[in-house]
Amino acid sequence: MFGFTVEITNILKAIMVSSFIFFVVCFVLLIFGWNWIIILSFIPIFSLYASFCIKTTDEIRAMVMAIFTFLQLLIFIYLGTVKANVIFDIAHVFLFEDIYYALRIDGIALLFAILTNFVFLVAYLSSRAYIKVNYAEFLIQLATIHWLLLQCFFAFNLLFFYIFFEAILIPMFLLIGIWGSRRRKIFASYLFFMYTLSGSLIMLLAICYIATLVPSLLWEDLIHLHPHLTFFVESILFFCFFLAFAVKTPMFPFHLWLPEAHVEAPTLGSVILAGILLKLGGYGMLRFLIPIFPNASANYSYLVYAICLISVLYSALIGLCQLDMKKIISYSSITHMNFSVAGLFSNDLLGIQGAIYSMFSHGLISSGLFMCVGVLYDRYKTRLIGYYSGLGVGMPLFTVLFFLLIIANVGIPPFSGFISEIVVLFGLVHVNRIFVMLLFLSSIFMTINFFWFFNRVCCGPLTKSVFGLKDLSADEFVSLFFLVFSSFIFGLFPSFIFSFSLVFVEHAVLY
Amino acid sequence: MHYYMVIFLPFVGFLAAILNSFIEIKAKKKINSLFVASFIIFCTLTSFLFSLKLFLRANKFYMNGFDIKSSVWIDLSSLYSESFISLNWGFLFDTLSVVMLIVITSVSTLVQIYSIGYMAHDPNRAKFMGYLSLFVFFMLVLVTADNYLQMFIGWEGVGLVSYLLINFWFTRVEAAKSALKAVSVNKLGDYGLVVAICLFFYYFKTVDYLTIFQNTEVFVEQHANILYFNIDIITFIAFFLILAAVGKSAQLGLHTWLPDAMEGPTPVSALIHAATMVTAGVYLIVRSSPFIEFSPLALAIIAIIGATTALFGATTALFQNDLKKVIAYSTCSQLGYMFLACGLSSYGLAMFHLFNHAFFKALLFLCAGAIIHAMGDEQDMRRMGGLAQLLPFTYAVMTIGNFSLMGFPFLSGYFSKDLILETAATNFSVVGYYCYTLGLLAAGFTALYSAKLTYLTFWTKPNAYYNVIKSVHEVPSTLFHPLWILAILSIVSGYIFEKNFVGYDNLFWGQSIYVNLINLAYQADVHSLEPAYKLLPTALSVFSFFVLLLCYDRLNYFFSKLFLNSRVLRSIYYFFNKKWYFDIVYTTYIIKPFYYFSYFFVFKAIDRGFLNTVFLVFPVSLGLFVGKFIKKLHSGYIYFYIFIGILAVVLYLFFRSL
Repeated sequence: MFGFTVEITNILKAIMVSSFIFFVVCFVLLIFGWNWIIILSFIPIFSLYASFCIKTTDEIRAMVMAIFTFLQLLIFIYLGTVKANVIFDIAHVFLFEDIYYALRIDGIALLFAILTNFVFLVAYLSSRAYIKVNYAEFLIQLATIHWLLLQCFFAFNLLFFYIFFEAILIPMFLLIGIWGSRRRKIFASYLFFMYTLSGSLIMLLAICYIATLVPSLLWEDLIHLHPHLTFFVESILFFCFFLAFAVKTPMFPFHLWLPEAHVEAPTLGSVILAGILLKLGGYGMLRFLIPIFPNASANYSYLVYAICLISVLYSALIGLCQLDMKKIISYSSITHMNFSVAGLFSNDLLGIQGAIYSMFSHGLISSGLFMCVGVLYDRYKTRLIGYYSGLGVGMPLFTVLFFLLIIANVGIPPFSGFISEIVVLFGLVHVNRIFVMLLFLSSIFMTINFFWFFNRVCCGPLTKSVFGLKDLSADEFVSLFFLVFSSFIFGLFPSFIFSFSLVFVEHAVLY
Repeated sequence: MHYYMVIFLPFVGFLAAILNSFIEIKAKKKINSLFVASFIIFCTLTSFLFSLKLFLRANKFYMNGFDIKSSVWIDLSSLYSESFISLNWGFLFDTLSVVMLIVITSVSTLVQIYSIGYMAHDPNRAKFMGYLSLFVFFMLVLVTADNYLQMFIGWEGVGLVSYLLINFWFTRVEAAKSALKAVSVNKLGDYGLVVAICLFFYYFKTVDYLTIFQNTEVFVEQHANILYFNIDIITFIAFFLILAAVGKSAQLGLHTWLPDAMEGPTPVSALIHAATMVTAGVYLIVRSSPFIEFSPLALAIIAIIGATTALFGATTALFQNDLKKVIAYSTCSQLGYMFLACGLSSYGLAMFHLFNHAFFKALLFLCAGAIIHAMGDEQDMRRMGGLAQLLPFTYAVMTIGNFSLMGFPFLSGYFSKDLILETAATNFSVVGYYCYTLGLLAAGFTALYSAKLTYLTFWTKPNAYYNVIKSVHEVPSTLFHPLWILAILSIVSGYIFEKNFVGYDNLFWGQSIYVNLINLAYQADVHSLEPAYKLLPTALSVFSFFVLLLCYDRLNYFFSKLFLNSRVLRSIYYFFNKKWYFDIVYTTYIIKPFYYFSYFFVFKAIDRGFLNTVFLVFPVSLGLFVGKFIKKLHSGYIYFYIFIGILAVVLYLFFRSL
């Protein structure tokens, strides 16, 4: 039924050889004293190395990487289910003076790592459907981003978090600039780069200042910093950090790069951007901003709510009058991400848990939606809605999966989007009732927007511009179905996700 | 176990339909769907039998005069539990749920049997039946949930399936548009429900029915400070519940989606837009009765909305020419009666009318479907006529349905509608008078449009083309059986169940309905009403019926003249024909300005204008501007660079020495 059977022997051979190389590398490093957590976080690089050591085609290399990613995903889920809230080993590597390269795996790090692997598994699996030129180089970029993201989520040292946070810009810049589709991609990649960089350089200044105050930049030392700061200094540092994460999230005045970058990026670039890179902002707030500056967070939370409310309504309204599919989805990403940022600052167990859950669920759903747009762009070479009509006639599988992703995105039960919305609202209603009412108005706009989107693309009579209807290929079907199905399962059993983050939220985030 | 069976069997039917479609896609050919369709019907029928068993049990308890605990809670795995909040998947079977179960499963079984014949020529019949089953599943989740959150899952689910079913022939642009409209307007109601759930969670720290209803009295006379207004908490929450109910039940203001939803296949209109989904709003109000009862203001609002909608629906229906739209507006109007009864604290009566209405309205829609089918997809009543001789069976059952709708004595509509009007008449408050007046008028208009429908479709001389008339045929057996069953039900259901559903001293509803005695202070016993008042609605109905026949049959020429020559009469006609101008007003004054605002202000002026200038154009031009000066330092002459170097050293030494 699926196209895999043809190449199954080649893939098996490739897997055997590459896993041999892989284990040799891991074994040698273990002997040389590398910690197992570091080795775990290096799996993308090792598997890339192993798959390029063997003589085979790039498509099979992608398959090999997908299988390694899947194994890594299984390890993460195993770690999460067996002892979710235990802080695992901390890997300290002494570099120079008092700077440690430290990694730590705890509940939320695992959660985001699982999301990363979900999205990258799908990306590796479907990459051969989307990428036609420079495939090997593309795989290298993909693996690099994967590795950097894992480093980012496991980083226990603020300095290294910053380094990896910035380093992701480089492969992403290349991804948009090289594999993008139009002339404007150069402009978009610069825009993306400069926006994020200028936000986080200010954070670097704040980190430099903090480094003079604390014995080390390890997270454990940082959370004991705030009693020693005056409120004025804490506020300034808070805003320096907040700016960097707000640009990444993105929040209201700093969001211009997102639609631009999404529209110009290749399909998988958008998938990674919406699926995980946007979560770095929320993750940074969760991990560093709120625990390190609790007083400032409490004091400025209403400012954050105001910004969130503006962003949510603003992007929902703009989404209503977009004609480019990717722009519609990217503006809805802004809506969802700001929803979760509002939840993060609610200082309520439900609100924060819901915010984390909503980041997770949005990672699955929006990557699926961008992949759907990629499917259409691949076939008909346009992203403008006006050229589409009546796809339901010839592409039933695509229509079904697309519809399920859309209802998941607008928060219709029992998909994960619903649980994330309602739990965030349950948290926020303790903060302010009017705020909840205004915030949830966005849901109406988004529903209208997305059902209109679906109506225009999949319903109505067939038009000439969609000639030669070809339904989903096996790769596309498997990857889309995987995302839809996981969103469905996590919507039915949300406590699986909630159990990951519970201990961290109770101990570190609530003030 | 059979509690689960009731709910999950329709879902099994849906899964069968999915499997069938998937095999069809993979095999690239159509399979004969009769097997799948019968399996789906078997599932729904079994579900109906189980719910009948539950219903009989509830009835038996009543007969023995127990103060029943017919409620059964079933707790499934935990949805989300924390130290201080727990949300569970749970099911609650009390009398209210069981009555709804009976309505849903019986009508859906009949409609599914009907659609085997109705959709016989559609290649996607199995998919259609699957959607119907999914709808039934969500509807059952809605009525058997034991907390508001789970009810919301069913609530959104039925809205979603309604979208899919209206949009079933998705290649038609009109169908897609109406489906979008239904979703959008319903979403406003859903917004109300979500906000209400959040507020419940805020005040009660839970969303369980039981906990909320038992603690409602704590919040009586409590006020909350909302934007510096002191608002009664219960009224505040009830307002959002009413918004939700109004959206789902197509009451005045948010009714615009219901007539447009008639673009869907007719079985869908019968099942979803007449019998079940649109009654979910009434169900919500009745279910929340232990809560809403403590807010007289909310009750008054419900009653006023209901009475106004009853009149609105009836008047608009009279001036429509589309067969299905007439019935759709009639549904609107009858739902208004149910709201009216709820607002006067007669929840049992509202449920009674819901129960009867489900049967006769489903019957009317299914008959309309048979007529449209026979006439070759013609929906305009002005092009029908003379069908009494051609379709005698359809004519007979449709007349039964019509008379039941009009409240002709001893048919089912008579028992419930008359009682609603009598309750309104014996309620000595302003709201009661308002409801009685408007309800009575609406009853008159109901008779008028029923007469018009019967006359134009069946009695007048044929107005259709010869070819159409020639090919008219009586219904096949799959359409025949559901029709006569529903016809019998709409004759007898009022008489049989009146003793159960209504009356002050009945124990049938157990604890599922609560009536606060304070709200009955202005309510006299309906038996104390004078006989003249009791006869008034019936007499008015019969009178209007004959008046309309007279107008159409004898005074036709006179009225045409009158309407053509008088501007006032013509504008009155347009007012009702254009549905009180609701759609036009919404489009011109709400939707268009809203889109203009979001495009020209938010998108063009702020996003592409202001922010683009400040965060994009300005930094870039600043960089270019500064670069233009710095470029001059790059002169290419060695003495210039040496000069800069020496200058730097001098400056360094100078600042060092400070």
